[in-house]
Amino acid sequence: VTTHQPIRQAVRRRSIALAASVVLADQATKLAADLLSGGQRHGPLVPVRNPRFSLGLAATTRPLMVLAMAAGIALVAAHGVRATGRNAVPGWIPALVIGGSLSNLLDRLLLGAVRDFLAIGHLVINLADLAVLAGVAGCYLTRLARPPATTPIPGREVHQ
Amino acid sequence: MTKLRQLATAVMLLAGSLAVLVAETGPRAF
Repeated sequence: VTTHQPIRQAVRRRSIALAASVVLADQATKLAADLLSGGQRHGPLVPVRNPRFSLGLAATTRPLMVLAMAAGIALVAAHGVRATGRNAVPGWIPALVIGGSLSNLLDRLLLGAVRDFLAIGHLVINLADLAVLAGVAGCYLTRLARPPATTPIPGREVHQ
Repeated sequence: MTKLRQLATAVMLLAGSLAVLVAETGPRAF
């Protein structure tokens, strides 16, 4: 177990660095979109501030909402640490989910709304949403959609 | 047993991540 310790620490460090990079990149792109778009309402860059949250609780219970989101992120972080420690998933998966959700939480905490700017069809999202989505998709694809690892060795098949 | 624990941990992580995605992004997108 002790021989795996340095490897686990390196994976954890890299995951923390990736999560921090997601937060920085998301905040930078939100700022850039605000500055570059000039308040336009058409095209791929449409900066909007979106206060909405689950169950329509946004306006009345913002502190509660922020607390709930922080608790959710902490839960994902705890599961992420356990999952990477058991080699169940690569470290970049929880890093993307945690980084993306933290950045949106930061928006809610500081501005009272999430800044969205990327118009895709009728949706307006941001880089943090894409990071969370990529983490969820990565978790499913690398772990759950993977074919079974046990393949029969040629010439050693069991015939009954 | 180890494989089962790994799978269970991954499923828990996926469920938590999905919950975060739905709670955080869903209401803003739809």
